[in-house]
Amino acid sequence: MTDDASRTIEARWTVVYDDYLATCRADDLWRPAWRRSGVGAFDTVMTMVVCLITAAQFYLGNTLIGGLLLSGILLIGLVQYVVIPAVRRRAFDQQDLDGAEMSLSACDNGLALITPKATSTVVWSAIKRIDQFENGTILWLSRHQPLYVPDHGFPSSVDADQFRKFLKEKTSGSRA
Amino acid sequence: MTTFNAKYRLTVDDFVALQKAYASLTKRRRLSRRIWIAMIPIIAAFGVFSATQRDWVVAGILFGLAAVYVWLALRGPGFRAKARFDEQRLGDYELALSANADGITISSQVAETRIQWDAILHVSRVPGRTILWTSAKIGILVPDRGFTNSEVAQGAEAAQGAVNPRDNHNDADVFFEYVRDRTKGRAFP
Repeated sequence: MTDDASRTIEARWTVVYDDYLATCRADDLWRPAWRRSGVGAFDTVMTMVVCLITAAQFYLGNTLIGGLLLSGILLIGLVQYVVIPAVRRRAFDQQDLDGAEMSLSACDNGLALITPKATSTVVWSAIKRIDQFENGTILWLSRHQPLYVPDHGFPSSVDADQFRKFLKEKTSGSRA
Repeated sequence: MTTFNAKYRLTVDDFVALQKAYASLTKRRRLSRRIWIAMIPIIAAFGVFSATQRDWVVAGILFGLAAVYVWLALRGPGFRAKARFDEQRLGDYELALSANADGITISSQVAETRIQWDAILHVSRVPGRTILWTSAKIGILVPDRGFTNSEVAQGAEAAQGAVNPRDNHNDADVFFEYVRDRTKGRAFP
């Protein structure tokens, strides 16, 4: 909902696991490209490792090196596809976020976020960085304090775009 | 109405204390930590055995692994503490905490958060600090040095009978007991 006179933009949404995963993945935005996770980067690393194994075994005839590298592949795969998803799911469950009703209100003075058990207000200068990521917008108070506002929280995509324009306008000056 | 007030700026030591409390907050974490600490003498014993067999490569790897485990046991919670503390901007602003029957309010120059008591699931007391946990992942650390209203808290305590009176306890102890009363019977999901 947008109110032009008082310049207030509101969003309401129910937290789902995909929103949380998007927030986790968004940490990549702080990393240099070569350190970013994701299927693309993982595949590249795997291809390089397989090439290395082949080369090492061909030139050295050493099965120990092959064994070590293959163990490394298994370990990376285990971490990437089993450990990390399990840790994220557990973290989400522990925070009891599933189904939480969130309400965000942005006005000239700053943002207000209302959850069933807490209310937070933040002035614009506290927002360190803003990213449009996947199907939403991420406001970073610091690297480990993201606030993900999914586009589905707005009545329409036009409102979501207006929210992003508003954010850009309000945070274009100096930040704390 | 019982009211507690505190003003403080978080330090890296506070952050390390929070990390240590986090590492031993749940049974699962405590068990996990005990298991891998127990691994140290086991790995070292295998290292000694390998050394007696003059298998120096394996012995070296095992002793190296044991050394890494010892280092993690001693320095784990403090690892990159300063960097992580700075990344989260935890020490950027002075914080003001106010707690009463309605809940807790934490404010700084740029933000304010009001939390209902229902959201606090557990409270821990570590040397010099009280930690309020809203989940097993998120803790709010309140250092003892921040409390300033001795008369208010102790007077209120006696008037309300919210906590058991004790001699010579300071505001932080009263605050801890007050929060513990509020969170009694709650558990992490």
